[in-house]
Amino acid sequence: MSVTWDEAAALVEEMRPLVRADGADFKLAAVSDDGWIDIHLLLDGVSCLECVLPPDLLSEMVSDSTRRSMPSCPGARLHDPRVV
Amino acid sequence: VLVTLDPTGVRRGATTERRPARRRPLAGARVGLVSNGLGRSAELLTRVYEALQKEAQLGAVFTVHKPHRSSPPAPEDWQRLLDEADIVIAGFGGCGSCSTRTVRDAMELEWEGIPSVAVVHQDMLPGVQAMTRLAGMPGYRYVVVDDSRTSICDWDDGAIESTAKSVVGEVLELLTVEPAV
Repeated sequence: MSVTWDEAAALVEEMRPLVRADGADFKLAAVSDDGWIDIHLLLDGVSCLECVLPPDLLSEMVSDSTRRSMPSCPGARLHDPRVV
Repeated sequence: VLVTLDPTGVRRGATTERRPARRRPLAGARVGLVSNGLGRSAELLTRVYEALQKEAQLGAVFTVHKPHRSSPPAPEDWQRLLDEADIVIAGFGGCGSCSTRTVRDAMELEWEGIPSVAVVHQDMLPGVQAMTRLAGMPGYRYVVVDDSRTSICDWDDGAIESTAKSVVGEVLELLTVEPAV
């Protein structure tokens, strides 16, 4: 079963408060034909980079959220510029 | 840079999402304080402990200072909490990720079997609510401070003392009353 753009956008919207207070944001970048979701972490407005939730926890949150809200989704790809 | 996420993944470091039974009374309970280093958070937590001590005759206390506001306690401190704390009070959530991470710390300690409570500022509720909801515990309760000043750096001794007194009742409740499932 594929994932619609609106479903993925709703997921991103739900996650936004996790990082907004630090000036960061999530952006839905793409939903592939086979249901994979690409999410970008935007850090342009962040004054304190290390204040934003660390990459491993954010990845975990995105993974958990995807699993809970869209069990049929094959997965999400989080693009975190802090991860090298 | 790409991080591929497995939607069937299991949360690292957590055994389950269970909630441990509350301990009543709290007399003799060993207390761990988890300070995120935000402003005077360690002092606030100490004052909360002292106020709680008067009400509940708690046992020994120790404070864990996190390496950063948005990170968990250091591994050795986390282990100490698991080994030596019967209950935990975490705080202070007065900025962005320090709030979401504070409530996350408390939830993860709950998952490890330690009744815990997070103290956060009302202005940070959107992030805190997102954290509990997205972690699968939308009903997880925490203590909300409604002081008009968000930055705990600006709090004077009187504000620290009065805030501690104002939250101690709810802290006690969350540590002793069985949570609704």
